[in-house]
Amino acid sequence: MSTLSRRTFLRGAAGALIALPWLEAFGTRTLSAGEPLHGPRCFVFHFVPNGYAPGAWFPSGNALELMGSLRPLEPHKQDVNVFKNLTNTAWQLKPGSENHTAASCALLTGRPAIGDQDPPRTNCKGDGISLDMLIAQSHGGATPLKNLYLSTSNNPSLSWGGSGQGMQYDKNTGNMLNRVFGEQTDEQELLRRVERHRSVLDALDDDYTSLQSKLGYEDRMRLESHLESIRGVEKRLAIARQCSNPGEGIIRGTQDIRHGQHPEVLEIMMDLTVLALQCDITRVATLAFRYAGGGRSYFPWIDGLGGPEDREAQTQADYQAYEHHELTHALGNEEKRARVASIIEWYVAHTAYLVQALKNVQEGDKTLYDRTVVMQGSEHGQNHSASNLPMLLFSGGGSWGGGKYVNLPEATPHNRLLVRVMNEFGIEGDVFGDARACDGGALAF
Amino acid sequence: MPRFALSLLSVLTLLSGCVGSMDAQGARQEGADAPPGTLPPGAQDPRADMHGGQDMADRADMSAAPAVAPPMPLRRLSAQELERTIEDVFELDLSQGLSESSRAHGFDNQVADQFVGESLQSDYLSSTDAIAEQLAQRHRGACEDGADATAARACAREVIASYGARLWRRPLAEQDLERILAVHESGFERGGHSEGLHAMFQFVMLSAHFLYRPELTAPSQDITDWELATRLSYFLWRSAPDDALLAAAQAGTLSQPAELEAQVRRMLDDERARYTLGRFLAMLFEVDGLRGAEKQGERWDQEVAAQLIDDFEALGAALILDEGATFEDLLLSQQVRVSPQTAWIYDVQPADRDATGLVMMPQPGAGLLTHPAVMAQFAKFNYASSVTRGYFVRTKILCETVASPGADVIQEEPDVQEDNPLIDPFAYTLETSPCSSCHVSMNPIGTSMAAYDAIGRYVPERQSQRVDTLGSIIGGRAPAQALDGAVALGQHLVESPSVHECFSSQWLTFAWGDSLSPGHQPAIQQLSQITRQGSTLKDFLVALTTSQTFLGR
Repeated sequence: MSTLSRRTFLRGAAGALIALPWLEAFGTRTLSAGEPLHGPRCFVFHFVPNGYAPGAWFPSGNALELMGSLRPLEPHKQDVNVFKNLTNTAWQLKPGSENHTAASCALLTGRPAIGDQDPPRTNCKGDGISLDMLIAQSHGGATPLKNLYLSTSNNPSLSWGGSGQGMQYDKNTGNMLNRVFGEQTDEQELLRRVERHRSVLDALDDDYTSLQSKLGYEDRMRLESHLESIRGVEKRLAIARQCSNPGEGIIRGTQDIRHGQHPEVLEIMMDLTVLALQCDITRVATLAFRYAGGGRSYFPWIDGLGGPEDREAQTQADYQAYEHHELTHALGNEEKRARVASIIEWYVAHTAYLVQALKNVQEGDKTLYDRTVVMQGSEHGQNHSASNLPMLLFSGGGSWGGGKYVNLPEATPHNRLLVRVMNEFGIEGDVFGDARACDGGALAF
Repeated sequence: MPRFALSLLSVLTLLSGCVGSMDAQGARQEGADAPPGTLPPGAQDPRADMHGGQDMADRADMSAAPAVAPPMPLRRLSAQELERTIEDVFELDLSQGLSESSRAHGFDNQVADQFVGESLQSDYLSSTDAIAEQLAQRHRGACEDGADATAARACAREVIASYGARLWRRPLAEQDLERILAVHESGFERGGHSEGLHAMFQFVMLSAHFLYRPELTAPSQDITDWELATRLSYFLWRSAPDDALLAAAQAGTLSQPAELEAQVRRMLDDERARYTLGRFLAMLFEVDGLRGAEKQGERWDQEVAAQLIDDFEALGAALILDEGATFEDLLLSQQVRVSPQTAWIYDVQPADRDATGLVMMPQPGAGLLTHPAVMAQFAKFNYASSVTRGYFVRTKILCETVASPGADVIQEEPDVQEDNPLIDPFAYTLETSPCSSCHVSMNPIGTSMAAYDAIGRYVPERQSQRVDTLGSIIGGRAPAQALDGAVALGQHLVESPSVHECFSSQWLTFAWGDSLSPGHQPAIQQLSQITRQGSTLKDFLVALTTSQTFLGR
């Protein structure tokens, strides 16, 4: 067993010098169920919208073969697990909600979405806690942030604190940086602010509690969730961040992240995630570069793909030839199918980047990767179908090992994979989300 | 020809019926397993009233025991409401918004979207820090940091008292003052009077009495005058009550019918009402979606898009507040509001504006129904879409739900080189089963608006041919009714009771902040009678705000 010094300074994923918290390092590389880790177990979900391109994802035989969009994972072949025949069954439980947001809402909640109407067509929301938030709630521990939700759009559809309780997101990298590390200000001012906020939150606790007692049941419940947030923020104020703010070098001058117009933003999101996990600022992160569905999703920086640099300047020709969602409506066209495969490959390359960055963080004789469950997923399979979700699960942090091509019975509900991950975080049960989509319980593979 | 493929699932979905009306709880009423054109045994046709069918008022008489509307839910201020409230109460000019709002039921003030997680709570703390600091600086002069605790407390008490009932929209009780001053005291101990003031203002703004609109009246009783003042101001102004409203509440006269009506009319004459009416209509017609939309053609840019939305809001508010518009006028007015950036779209000159800033269009108009902002919003990049325009009328003007085509329907956008209303790129959806079973309820409505192109210009002739605007509308068991042009469509709509009920229910949803219940149905019917009788919308708003539903807990 080896230990790291209490404040070890290492270069983070982007080369920024950061101060690390104390982490006890011990154990062997291959984990078995229940075996203690060298640090807190973490969870990262990387969302890749709009399914996959046929012929560029699943191996042709029974063995794991990283072809098409999966090629960037070759260095991590022994770590990745690819699943065949996982279905977004939960989404299908509500006929008539055939849209990307409803499918996305079901992805991590394992429940059909709700919305303004029934079935939900507009303003879809998750109808229960999502897996990432459940893990944060039960396993997040006393960290400065309960969870990290990094996205570039105001259309949150993945992380839900409960039914209809969507998570907020940051609109620029500066906010992201400040959310993770706290604002860069002098220590005295920071202390003064923390003390003030603690005092205000304490008074608010009394204020909300006192009003709550005068309200009817439903209104009381509305205030209850707010009160929980007040207490949660107050509790976390007391937890000093173990790492200092690495400064804006890490965000490489990119400020406006809206709509994911800048390709480097996904890397920045991943760098921030790795640093946040490394510093135990949070233990759960959900990343969404862009959301599912259509409109203006272009990747002009990928070889072979065109489209406008500025999404606001799209033309009809751009739209039909290069827009991500539009391309997924034309998978019968070989050229367009290849473009979809390239886009997904770009996303997968970033998952590979994340896995490598986690592996680069040495913690004694182990790495941050070894205690982090990394999952990648999409709301759809191909052709907007619920079947064959392109889900990936890596070996790190889990007892399931890696390097497997898991060919499941047709239409296996993806909830079963969520149950397996849930169990791995010590949350027992055979059901996560809607019980109708959990037949068979945790997925064994 | 676009390609499409359907799975068995989507076929079944389509066969299960495509258009349903919303009941007061937002649930579809149509039988889930009914094939198109039929209804399950015992069901009422939700569209029966559209063409000489059964009137909704008659149907209400057939209903069982009257339901009672539940109490108005506890509502948190939306981001925009909070910003405007802070500006009005503290007389500040906030340079940037506090946070973004999402929308339920089309509006940004609905309880369904008001969950506060740790992230938003943290944002509240950081965003009010700067505002509280400004306020602390404003008031610190009355009592310097060197003052002792007793003197500083007296100063803080004076500062808070100077805001009076404006602060929490009711008089502060002694225990309220004590709670507020305790926060000051704690801050004073940490960093003197300035720090005390800072913490105190932050607490006041984040208090549930500021951030929410608590109503503590028992469910069976009418709300208090203070609560009424708050309801009125957030409904008509999206901000806090002003001194006149608070004075009427203080005097206990606000709920007296004559005083209430006078206050509502006074509020409608205020610029804040103009803002609210414009915003309500923009959300109702979904024209905000035009922001950022790209259109073919060099003259279209984001400035034009934003200006069209402004034009739309200003026109709607002016018609209601300055022109005494009825609901029919709102949908069918020939007047428009033109600005220099958008005059080319209307093909009129801003110089022709009358005293209220409106211009009379040369052709028969269709008011907000075919406003360029609406027509452009419900169109594609470079062509008008009969489908999206028909969908707009079905969902926003008739408050119906339209089933999704199904996830497995594979369709490509038609390859359209030029906006040409002589050819409908979506004609195939009417020619192909099972698409046609749903599209027949949408496309022909859109066809009647075909004279408006993708950026909302009126272009009745193309290539020396008159654009075919002969559309139709179906409803209930009545045969499809032919409609030639948008004006005919608008005239048909204003004659339909369900359109008036839809309009009334949208206003009530906005006022209530939540999906409506069967208990709201009598109010919807009463209000829709007012617009059907041709009363002005100003009178309609007075009737709404003085109705028992609005005054009840």
